[in-house]
Formats: sequence, C-alpha cells, structure tokens
Amino acid sequence: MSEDDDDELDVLGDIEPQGRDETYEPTSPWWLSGTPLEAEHHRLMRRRSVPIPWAASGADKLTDAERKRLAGTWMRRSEAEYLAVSTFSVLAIDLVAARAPADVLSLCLRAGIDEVRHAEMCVRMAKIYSGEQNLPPPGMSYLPDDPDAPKLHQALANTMLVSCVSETYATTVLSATRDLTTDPTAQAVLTAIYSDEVMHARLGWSYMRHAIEVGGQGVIEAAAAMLPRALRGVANVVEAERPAGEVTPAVRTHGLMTPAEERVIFSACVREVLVPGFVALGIPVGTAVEDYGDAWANAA
Amino acid sequence: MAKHTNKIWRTVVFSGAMLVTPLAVGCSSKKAEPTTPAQPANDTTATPVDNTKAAEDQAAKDQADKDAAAAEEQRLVAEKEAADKKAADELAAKEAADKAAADAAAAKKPRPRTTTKSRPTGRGFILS
Repeated sequence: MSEDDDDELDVLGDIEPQGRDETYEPTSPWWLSGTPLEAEHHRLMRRRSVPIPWAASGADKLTDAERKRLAGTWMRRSEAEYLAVSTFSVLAIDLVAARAPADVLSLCLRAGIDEVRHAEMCVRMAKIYSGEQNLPPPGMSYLPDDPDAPKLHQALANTMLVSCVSETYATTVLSATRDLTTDPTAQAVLTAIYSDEVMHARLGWSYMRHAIEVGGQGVIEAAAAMLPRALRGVANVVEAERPAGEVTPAVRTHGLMTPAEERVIFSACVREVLVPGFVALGIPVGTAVEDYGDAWANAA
Repeated sequence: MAKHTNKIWRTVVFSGAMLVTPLAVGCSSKKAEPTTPAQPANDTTATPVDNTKAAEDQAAKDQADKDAAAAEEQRLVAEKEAADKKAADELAAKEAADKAAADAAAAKKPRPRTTTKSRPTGRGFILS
C-alpha cells in the first residue's frame, strides 16, 4: 500500500469516498423537475460516501426552539452549498481558459455536482427540523475577474480562494464538528459532505503546485495578492450574524458549533494549515497569522 | 484542535501539494537553446614563400579575386539578412495588430460573470 493510500484512509477513516449508497432514496423530491431527467440525477446522487439514515433522526426529542435553531442553520447551509455549485462552475471556466490539466478540470466539475448533492441533503435536514419543504433562494456566487490578468494567474488565484482557503477551512471545521455530533442522521450527512470536501480542498493544493511549476514567479505573485482577500472572505462568513436561538448541548449533538468556537478553528486553520502550506510553496503570507491570531479568535 | 489541523495539514495540504518533493518554480519554461558550437578559428597556416615575380603577381591576383568574391558574398548575406529582418518585423507588427484587435473584440464580449457584489465573501461551511 502506498503512502498516499495510507493518507486517504487516515483522513476519511472507514469512509469510502467513492462509495455508492445502495439505500439511496430521492433526497429532496420537491426540488426535482418532474421529467425523465430525474432518473439520471438519482444515478449521479447515489455516489455517496455513506448511507444517510434519514429516519433515524432524533429531532423529535428536541424542543421547538432547538428545532427552529437547527432548521435555520441547515437552511443557511443549503444556501451556501447551493451557491457553491456556481462557485465551482465559474472556477471551471477560469481553469478551462488557462488550459488546466484534464484531471483538475474533471474534479472541479465533479465538485459542482457534489455541491448539488450537499444542497439537497441540507434542505432535507432543514425539513426534518422545520417540517417545511423549502428551497435555497436563487443566486450565484461571485469570483474575482480581471480581463487584463493572464489566464493562468486568474485561474490560480481563484483556485486559491475557492479551494485552498475556503474548502480547506470547511474540511477542518467539518472534521471538528463531526466529533461532537451524535445524532445519526446529522452525523452521516456531515460525514458525506466532509468526505467530498477533502477532495475539493486537495484539488486546489495540487493545482497550485502545478501552476507554480508551470508559471513561476508570476503565479506566486498572483497567489500572494489573492491571499488576504481569500482569508478575509472566509472570515466574513465566520463573523456573519447567525440565526436566532441558543446553541444548547442538545443542539450541538445535531452538528452545530458556536460562532466563538468557529473563530478559534479558523484562527488555528490559518496558523497551522494554510500559512505553512503557502510558505512551503514559496508564497508570501504577509500578516495572515497576526491578522487572524488570538485577538481575532477571541473577539466574539 | 491540533488533532484536526494536523490531520488536514498532512492529508490535504502536504499530500495535495506533494510537499515531500522539492518545488521547481517555472520548471516547464522554455528549455535553454543548445549551445552553438564555436566557429573554427581562421586558418593561419603560413603560405610557402615563392621568390619568382610571376608567382608573386599571380598570388596578388588570386588574392584580389578572393577578396572581391568575399566582399560580394558579404554584400549578398547582408542584403538577405536585411530582407529577412524586414519580413520578420512586418510579421511581428501584423501579429501585434491582430492580437490587439482580438483583445479589443474580447473585451467587448460579455463575460460569464456577475459583478454585483463588492464585498468579498468566501465559502465557509456555516456551522451555527
């Protein structure tokens, strides 16, 4: 067994990232087209790392306030996952424009499909807590676009924003959240999302390595220019106002953390994961560690 | 926390960026052209001396013919080089004009983007 195989097993435990959920059932049928396309959609969505025991949720043991709090957060998660579909779609355009390697292109496009799956799972979770069949609002995400920049530089900078920073942080925070989640349905959903995000994050680091070796100093400078913007973007999400309601111990077992805990995780992620990675690739990191150090982490 | 960050560092960043192998910045840039072998030095072998006048005249004539031929060859080479340079300059100017026209046309095309948001927002998994 190679070292890479060991790593894969280590990060995913006993999760099979290319698994096929034989117990799959339509996740959010109220969100489908009602056309023959549905069958092919289900074939795509069946690729899931773990089966989701939808009926095993312990939502009925929670108070109304706790269910409302969880419904609000899972609905916001569905919105974020839904926007990520367009994020990876736009990133794919940049990668195509830069003639990225074929494996990078295919994984980026697959990431968009993964995000559709995540959005469906999140609206299903919101329904479990609220009883309502809601959908995420329409919209698309924005990625920086500079027509005057070399295509390689833009592709690399936006890959850094989306994959290296945002998805790597998402992977870190999901890893921590899974540890405190005991509700079987929430645990399985978070595990399924986490196992996809690992590859979404790794995609960025691999492309960054490739782009630096191809493009040299110009790519490094483009990455360095994007770094503060990318970190600020994730920090904006961490700092954002949350749905009303207390994060009780019972709520925590369904996969929620407090904003204060998230700040600590983001700060640690910057210091122990992101900055060492960029430094190892020769990318200047400026004041990233100071900007998101203890003072920022404890400001909530 | 260190448990999670260590795991993600090793399995996502270190593994994804292949940090176990040294980075070669810009290694795929154009390879250096092979070195052109140095031209051989002029032949400096001395010509045997001929003491007769006829031989000297003939030698002088031969040398004059040789010089004239060399000068003509040099003129032709210079003429060809000038013609080649002019053609290359014209081609470069045309390519630059074509690129500028293409860039101007591309700049007018709508790009598949929206620019309605000014505040950067990242994609972080919303946990609470």
